[in-house]
Amino acid sequence: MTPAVEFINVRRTFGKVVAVERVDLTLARGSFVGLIGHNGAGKSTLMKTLIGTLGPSEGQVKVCGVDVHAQPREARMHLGAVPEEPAVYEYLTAREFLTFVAEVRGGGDVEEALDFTGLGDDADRLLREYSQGMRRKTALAAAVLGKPEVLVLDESLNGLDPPSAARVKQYLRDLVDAGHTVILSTHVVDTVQAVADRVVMLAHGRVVADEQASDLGPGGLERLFLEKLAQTRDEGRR
Amino acid sequence: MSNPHRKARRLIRAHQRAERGPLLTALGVVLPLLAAFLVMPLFQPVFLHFLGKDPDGEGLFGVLVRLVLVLVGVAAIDTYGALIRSDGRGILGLLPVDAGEVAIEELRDLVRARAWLPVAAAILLLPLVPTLGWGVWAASGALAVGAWLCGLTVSAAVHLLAISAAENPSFAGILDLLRGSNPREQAAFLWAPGLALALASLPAALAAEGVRRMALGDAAAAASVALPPLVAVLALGRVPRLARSGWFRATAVLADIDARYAMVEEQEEATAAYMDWLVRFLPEGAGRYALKDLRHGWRARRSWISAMWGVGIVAGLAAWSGDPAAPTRGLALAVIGIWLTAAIGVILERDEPPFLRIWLPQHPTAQRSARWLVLFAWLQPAVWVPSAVVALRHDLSEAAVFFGATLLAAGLASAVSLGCSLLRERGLLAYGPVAAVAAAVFTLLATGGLS
Repeated sequence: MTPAVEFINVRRTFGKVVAVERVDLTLARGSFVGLIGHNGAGKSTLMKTLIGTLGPSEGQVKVCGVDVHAQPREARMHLGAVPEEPAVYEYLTAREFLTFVAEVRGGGDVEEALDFTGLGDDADRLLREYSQGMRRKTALAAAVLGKPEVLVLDESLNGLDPPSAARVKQYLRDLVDAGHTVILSTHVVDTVQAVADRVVMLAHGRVVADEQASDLGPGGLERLFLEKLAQTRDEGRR
Repeated sequence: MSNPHRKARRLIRAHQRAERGPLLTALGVVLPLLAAFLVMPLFQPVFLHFLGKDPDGEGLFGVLVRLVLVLVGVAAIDTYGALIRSDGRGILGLLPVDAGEVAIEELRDLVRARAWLPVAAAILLLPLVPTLGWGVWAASGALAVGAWLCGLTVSAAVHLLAISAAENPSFAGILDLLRGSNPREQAAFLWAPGLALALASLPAALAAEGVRRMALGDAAAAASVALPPLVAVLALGRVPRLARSGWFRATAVLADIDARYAMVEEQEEATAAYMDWLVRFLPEGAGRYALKDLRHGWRARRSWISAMWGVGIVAGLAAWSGDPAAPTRGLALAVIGIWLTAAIGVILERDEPPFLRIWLPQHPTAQRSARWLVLFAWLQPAVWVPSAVVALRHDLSEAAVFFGATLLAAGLASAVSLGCSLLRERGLLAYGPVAAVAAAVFTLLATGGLS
């Protein structure tokens, strides 16, 4: 079976600045992967190359065996994504917006998506009246419609109120248990420790750690994070 | 199954109509056409002065060609906004949409939103009727509609091709030659409207020649007005396929362009803004607000503000001719440009984040006088450049009248823009017709002064 996601020797530069340096990663189906790193580590750049909003300078990114940049539409059929700053149609209600997304995706349970994000009571209000948190929930609901094989969440759990965050985490866990793959990028170590099976750590554009979350133990991820960060900083100085 | 994009857009329009209410919705349709009727008396003496003394139809041909160039130019710029830099890209770019369908829906929306444009052009041509008859006017109106549609579809095809050109290494050399200080990929988008203008103007110019011959008695020549719509249909047929191969990739190309722009922006540019030296001459209170407007306006609407130099140069070129009517034409262009650009005052107010109004102490006199001054300063190129041309090419007394008239227009337009900006979201709806009437009346009075 083809892996859910493959980053093959991905390098991304902006002029002389190297944002992502030679990343080779294969993510299996049915895994919950946490991507962590300091601010500016290259997480969002890597996530953007995965969802196709940024091309890699070198290398290839595949979703379920489909090259994201060569076959953009086919890749998006396997992919649901919530970018760091999600956009919505301001003059649609949440229900209308989700219905539109479901139609484009060729299916999806709008009521279930509204329910797990807790937007049911506000579903018939225009999205322009929504707070940032509610918009993020709407984007999350849109991303899971049709239950795509790979779900990419870029800082998407930040700013959710505790009951919503708990409900969303459980929903994502159920998706993973059903064989879907979730990739959550964040700089909040606790969030990753709470939900991920596998943790990939980026520092200065490079993968500096790739561990099973169960091997790390309580507080282990935070220690690893600080240790690797100090290590790469020292290497940078040398 | 129904087209989800069409259905969503229909819902969006319904919500927008419900929010605006029936009166404002109707005004949105009626006002541009009303403005065209109001500007018509200005258009006639300045651009249709040849009527009744045009035995070979050269005047008619000239005005039709210029009009279709403007329509195609607007269509080309609109298409860039709709297909390349559209707001919907952030939403649709993440979904497995059929890019061909998206492109067609964007064009449909554009047609719906801008349909008033060729109609307004036909209204401006109404003074042809008494001299050349309804037939020539109808053919000219059909030419305006056809050329605009041709501009939209040809430009859509060219912009979608530009995505591939931007990415294609074989175009790197030529794009580097053309790009100036812009990122290489942007060169493809910068030149696309020009290429679209050239391609779409050719059938439009041939059709204009047909209308000229029709005006001279060759009724069969009117058939040539079918040429631009025919080209439009052919170009439209290519759009879905081109969109399917390029539309998604444009997101990554744009991300590259924006990242490179951010990198080339020098440290100095991050703190300096066009005309910020003005602040030195202002009291501290007004100076603070003026600096905010100068910086925000320059960074958010730089091309609009820079376009005032374009207006100044165009008005100067129009005034350069030895024809005694040349300063009048230059003045009309300068005044129209001034009133159009002054709309930026309304937009500045609309862009103001609501929290500023809530959190910060308000000093209305300082804020308004600063904004008036900033607007007035931005409009100056349309005053000084053509005035200097009139002084050089004609005489000083005419130049003094020209200078006084344009300076007064800049002051008035800034004040009207400031007044309308108090309506915030609805400011542009008020500014449009007021500016059209004011520009028409002002130009008639001022050109009377010159002649």
